[in-house]
Amino acid sequence: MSTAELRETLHVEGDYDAACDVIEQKGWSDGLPVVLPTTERVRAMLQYCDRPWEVPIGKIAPRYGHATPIRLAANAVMAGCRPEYFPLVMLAIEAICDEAFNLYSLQATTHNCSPLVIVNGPIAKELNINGGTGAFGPGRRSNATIGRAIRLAMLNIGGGTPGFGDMATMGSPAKYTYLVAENEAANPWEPLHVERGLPAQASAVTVIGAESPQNVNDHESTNAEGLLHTLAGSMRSLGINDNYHPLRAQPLVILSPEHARVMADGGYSKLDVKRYLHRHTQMRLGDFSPENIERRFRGKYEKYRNASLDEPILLGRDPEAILVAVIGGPGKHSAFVPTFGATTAVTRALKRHDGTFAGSVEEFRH
Amino acid sequence: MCTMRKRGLSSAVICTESFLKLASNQAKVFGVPDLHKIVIPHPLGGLTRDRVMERAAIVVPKLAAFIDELTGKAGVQDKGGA
Repeated sequence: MSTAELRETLHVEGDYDAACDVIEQKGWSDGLPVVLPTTERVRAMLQYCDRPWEVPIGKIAPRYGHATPIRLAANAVMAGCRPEYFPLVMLAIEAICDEAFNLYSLQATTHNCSPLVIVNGPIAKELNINGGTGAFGPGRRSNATIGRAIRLAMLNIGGGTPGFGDMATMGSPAKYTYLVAENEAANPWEPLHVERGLPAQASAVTVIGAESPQNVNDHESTNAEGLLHTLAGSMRSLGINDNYHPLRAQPLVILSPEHARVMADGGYSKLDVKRYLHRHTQMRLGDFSPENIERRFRGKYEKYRNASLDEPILLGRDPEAILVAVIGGPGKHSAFVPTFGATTAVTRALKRHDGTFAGSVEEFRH
Repeated sequence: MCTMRKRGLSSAVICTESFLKLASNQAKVFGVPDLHKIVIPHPLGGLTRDRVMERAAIVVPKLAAFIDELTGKAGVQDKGGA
């Protein structure tokens, strides 16, 4: 608990529009108007923080700015978050600052990736986070503003400003907000956070350095093999980053509940799905352009230096490298989410400052 | 490069003109704002070998001049680690 005061404030003469102009001129926005981070609003946000307000919970690359609760609270206010969302904003920031996630490269790269946050556990229902119909938006304040708060922190604290700290060739709509819940109620298998080692009652985020979802339409297949055939065919792609980091890539497959149900009813476990996809997304070295073969694969990886053109190119080191989540509502559309490739997904549980699992955001209130 | 420089080793970074802002910002972030930068035309990726050699031909005299500076031949001393 902190008694630190909000010491530094900026006074702006004029109305809301004038204040937004100042914020835009200072480069503190994603381009959209913001909720003004008044002292009262920032203080209200910090009512849901159970740790010292001025002690960083991480450093956000590429500026390696200190992500203190006060700074994060200001960004959460600007994004439009309700105060009770704040523990989740803090948790996601902790996760993306984990060294394994490789945030520096994600921020500075010319690739168009952005952290995708998948929320699991009771907090998803408590905060009304959408994992069903239209989960990726639009519509829910929680999805829209928690994701936006993370992005604003990456801009304002991390310095991920386009052209300066973010060199994405063309950016992405996922760089405004990118947060969903897993549809655990419609998931025939164990939820993502349980698969990744947490108890079911824990609330958690999994962050994935990802592109936007690519739709996979299959209205006709009536069995698991047919659906998986369509999915695998949609995932075999020459231009995705995952191909170029074959030892590290963790591409994501998002199954619609209806597709997942058909697979489960066909006797497939989640690992069976991964095994099928890993086997059937293999490409050949000879599938790539001659210069990619010579300069990328042969030039960069010893295993391909003298390999034949029939040498398999795997999507991920092994089946377990493929991530699977169940998201969405009724319908026959799943999705493939290519990633940055040189990044490792990070799962973090919502815990109180004393290290115990938190069952509700109200446990952070003071 | 920044870490090497901070440890007292003279160093320079080669970047294309499109990445100079990022390189300059990162040099500031890592505490060596005057890190020497050798700038070449953009791009570097997707070039034929001949075009890469053209870039190298730009780098070599700039690198030689930097080394001359370090060794005092050009009358300029490296300022050392930050």
